[in-house]
Amino acid sequence: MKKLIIFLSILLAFLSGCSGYLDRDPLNNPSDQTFLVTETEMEMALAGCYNSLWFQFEAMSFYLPWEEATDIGYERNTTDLQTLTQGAADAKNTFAKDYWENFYKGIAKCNYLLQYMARGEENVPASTYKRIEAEARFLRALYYSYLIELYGDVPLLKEVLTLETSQQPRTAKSEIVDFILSELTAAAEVLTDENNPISGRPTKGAALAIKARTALYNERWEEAIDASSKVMAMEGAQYVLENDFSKLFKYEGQTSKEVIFSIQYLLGTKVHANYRVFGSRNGLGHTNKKPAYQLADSWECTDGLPIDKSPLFDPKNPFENRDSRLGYTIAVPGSEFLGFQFETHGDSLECWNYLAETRVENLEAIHAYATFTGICWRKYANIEDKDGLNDCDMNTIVIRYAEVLLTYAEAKIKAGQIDASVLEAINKVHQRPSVNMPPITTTDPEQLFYAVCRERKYELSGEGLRLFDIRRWRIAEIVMNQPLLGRMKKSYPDKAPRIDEYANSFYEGIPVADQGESADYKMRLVDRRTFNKDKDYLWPIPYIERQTNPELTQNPNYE
Amino acid sequence: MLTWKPVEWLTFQGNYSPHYYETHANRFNKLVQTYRYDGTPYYRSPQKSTLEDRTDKNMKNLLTTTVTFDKTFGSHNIKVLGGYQQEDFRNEGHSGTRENYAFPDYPVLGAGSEENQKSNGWASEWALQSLFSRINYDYQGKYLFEANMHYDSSSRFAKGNRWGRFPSLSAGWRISEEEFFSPLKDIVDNLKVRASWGQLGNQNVINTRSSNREINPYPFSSDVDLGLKYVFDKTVYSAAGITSLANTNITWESTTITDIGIDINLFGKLSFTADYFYKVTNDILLNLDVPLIIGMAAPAQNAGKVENRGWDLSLSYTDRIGDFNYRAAFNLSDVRNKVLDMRGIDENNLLVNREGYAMNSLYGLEAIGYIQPEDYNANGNYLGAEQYGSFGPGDIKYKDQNGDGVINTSDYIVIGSTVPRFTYGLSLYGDYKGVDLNIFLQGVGKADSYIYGQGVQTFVEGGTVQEQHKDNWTPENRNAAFPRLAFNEINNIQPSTFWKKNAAYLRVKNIQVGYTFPLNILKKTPISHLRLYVSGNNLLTFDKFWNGYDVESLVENGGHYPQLKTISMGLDIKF
Repeated sequence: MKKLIIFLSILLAFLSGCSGYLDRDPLNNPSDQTFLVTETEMEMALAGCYNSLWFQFEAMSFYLPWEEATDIGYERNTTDLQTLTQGAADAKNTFAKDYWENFYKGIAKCNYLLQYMARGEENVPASTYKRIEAEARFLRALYYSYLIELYGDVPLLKEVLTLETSQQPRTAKSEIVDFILSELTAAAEVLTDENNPISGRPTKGAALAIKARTALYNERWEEAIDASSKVMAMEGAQYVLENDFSKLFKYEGQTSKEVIFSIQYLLGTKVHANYRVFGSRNGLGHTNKKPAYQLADSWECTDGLPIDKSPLFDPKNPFENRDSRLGYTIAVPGSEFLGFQFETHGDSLECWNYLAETRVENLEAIHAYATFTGICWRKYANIEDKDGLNDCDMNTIVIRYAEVLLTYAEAKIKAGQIDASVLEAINKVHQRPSVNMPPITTTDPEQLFYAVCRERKYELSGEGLRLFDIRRWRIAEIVMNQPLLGRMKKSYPDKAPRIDEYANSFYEGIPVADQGESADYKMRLVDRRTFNKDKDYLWPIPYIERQTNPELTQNPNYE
Repeated sequence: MLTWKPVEWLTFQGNYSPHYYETHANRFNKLVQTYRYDGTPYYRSPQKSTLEDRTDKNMKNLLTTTVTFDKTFGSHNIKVLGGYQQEDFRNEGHSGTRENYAFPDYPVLGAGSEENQKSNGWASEWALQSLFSRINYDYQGKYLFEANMHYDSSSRFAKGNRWGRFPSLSAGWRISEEEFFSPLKDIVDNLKVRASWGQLGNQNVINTRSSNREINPYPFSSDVDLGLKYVFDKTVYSAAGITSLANTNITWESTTITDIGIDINLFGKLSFTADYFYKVTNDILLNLDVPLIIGMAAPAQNAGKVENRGWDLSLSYTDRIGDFNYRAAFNLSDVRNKVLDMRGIDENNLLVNREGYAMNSLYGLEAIGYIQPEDYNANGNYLGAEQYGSFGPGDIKYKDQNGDGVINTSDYIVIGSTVPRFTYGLSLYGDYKGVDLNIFLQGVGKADSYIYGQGVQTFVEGGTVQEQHKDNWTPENRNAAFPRLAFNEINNIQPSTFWKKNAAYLRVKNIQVGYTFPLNILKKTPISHLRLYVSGNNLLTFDKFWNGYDVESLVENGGHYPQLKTISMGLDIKF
């Protein structure tokens, strides 16, 4: 009997802890139903919205690989980026899917904050509350601005989705543009004027600059002129063109007043490997992504004429007497790059190592995977990263003041409002102290428009913006149907290629090697591209999206 | 363990077992400097030495109480059991990381650089409760019957979805014990037929999309991830956000199995067993694909219904001739797996779970030979459906399933099944005067597998070619094993039947020879048993798979570490 009592009492003791025994809630994390009540929680949720800026493809800042999806860049790996650029992509393309996924992740975080932050409104000072809201609206508009340029019509989501509400259709691009422009206008009214690029946060100028860019890309000339003028009104106080162009892409350039908004990195928290991806073989990089040789021929000579017209151009020394931005954007043979003398001529078996002050084996000439095109990207391949080639924490620029000036100019021209301010804007960029090209003086609308298009190529190549330019000017169908060429291994062409009004180069009359032929004295055929103008102006809506959400339609000719 | 028997036929038992264990991992990854042939420094891998020091503490509490009623009434034996069990588990841990070890001989956290030091900590728990009962009845050992009932519940599901009910029954008839059977009893020692039906539950919510197979203890809870970060003013800031979708409706996965079988023992030497089963798994816990526009990771859902229909046979013979004992056993089984109902989409590149086909079926294009020069007309235009990139003669030709003139994702079909069919094993044993020999063979009769990427394809991601690729298509070698060599062209690396391979195999899994020392030699030593043996594993494999790859590889790029052929020697000593 005693045993029974002991037994039952032990049993009852355990069973009384029974109700609620199965109620186990997470020990690490708060519930989303009660979050966003304090200022700290809102700031943390806001910081989470920035995470999509850290998205990387092969350890590169998210927008840099887009340069390799155009006529001026080449992706050497057999990835879905290469497939997309060759015009061979189908709806299962993972490169296209990953960007779609990443931007919507960012939008979901912004929507969560914006939808529920009212829970804590009375706990937060009004100015802080408004600032948090404005930053989230900026980021959401920024993510949408990329989505529409890449995919066209996309679902416009302003609230958090659940499994039940996930079947959303696409919204017309023009409607999303209206949304983006109005969001950025509202954000600009609240955000601070002060430009401090290291803060990582958007300013009034950033909201207006992205607004101007979006408006320009979508032919809203008046709004582009208005937004860019407002940024230009802050020139001197907040935004100043850097005198030394090359400084923008060095560590000391992170605080430059020309930078309007940049992605922040920090060693130990988040880094990129732009050095390794772009760097030369001697510099221990992999030259994985490289510029097309055709890009090198685009810059004018110092007299302001294209190389097929200028008497200053010497085919045997093609990089002399050229716009200095050629040398700042790409590492050309004969220059110093990452501490070594950079030379890709097939006979240059040795080269000089400036750091060790000795002659070494020249990997650029003999390594099978040295740059196929004979040149390397210089922007963001920074000698300061040479000992930590996978641990670069230099901030990368999303938008800078030079682009705003060119946006203003192009919008004014397209709106038929050519005046002195347009030439002034272009020439500020064209005649920057370290560039100093002769001024542009034409006022003919068509010629001036081409001059701005060329200026964008000279100024912004290597910064991930070329894709949007070749799409909106409708020249993609011409330039993306050209093969991507690399230098002649042991020579240079006898004459310059033909340069068109957009500064694209065409090699009729210059020998190009066929597949299997030696490229010692002929241009190397690096990649064959095809571009279907009824398909390739947009990337495909991911296949898995169409399977899980039948409300979505596909872009033409992908399925 | 506490036992109390108030009367002969009634037993109360209670059992409490706590289990505490701690794991400690110290991972030091040392920088290695490589050099060029002339002595100048080259790459460093990794770039710096790092140390991660991690401790996990785990506590499990298990409490079981049962009451058993066991009585015999004449020829009837009845046993009834009822019980309650609860189990809870808690894990807590912390870790620290530092990098830049100037003195790599001291792999402790304090010796690393304080710059970029990191620390982390975590905790999680789960609990289960269960009420169960069982009834056993037999009559004269001839008619056997058992029934079970389980009510299980788990903390992993939200209130209202926690409890699952899982009954089962089985019955057996030992025909060999019947009166009418006695004339045959000399030959047939045991003849039994049996049948069963039962249900089981599963509540292990594993993220089927992640490779670490960790269990998610809180799939129902929508919570905010506090582990995010961003950088402002070159300082790290904590960030938060919802990164995965919760599923409040999640509940038990249940499997129902129906089985019939027969056991026969003849002459005391030969025994035979056969089973036929039909198994349906309902509400399978899978991370189905969800629209990416939701912006959060897909949750586990109760996803659908899969059936497995199959049979098992096994035969064994034990006998002796004088001092030679021997035994042979053979088993063969087959199962056909089919997805009956998939509530959503679950696709992962090559492998898909689609209704009407087996789980993890291969999905891709159908290859129908090579493109030949005759497939072009006089103007050099290709006459077939448009394929990928700059395709040409010697490339793999694909079938245009929907006849639209373009080869793309709409032409994908299920092209194979990775579920093994007709698995078998043969085990042979013999011993004579202390020498023993054991041979074990096993194999699979039918399965498909697939390797892609640098493992078997040419020039992928700047990779190279292999000896086998020398047999590539040229206009003179049209029936080559591989398509024409092409650099950076994607037509030939699309998922298709071309790269699918037969994964059937027969493997000599183990051969072991041993010698047991006779007792009269050991008598004078403290040793009571001594056996010496040599054993070999995976000695030979017969298959039609890719040369140089393990036929049991996962579907991936060949980077799978194969099973090892090992030969070992051992000594078995008992004192």
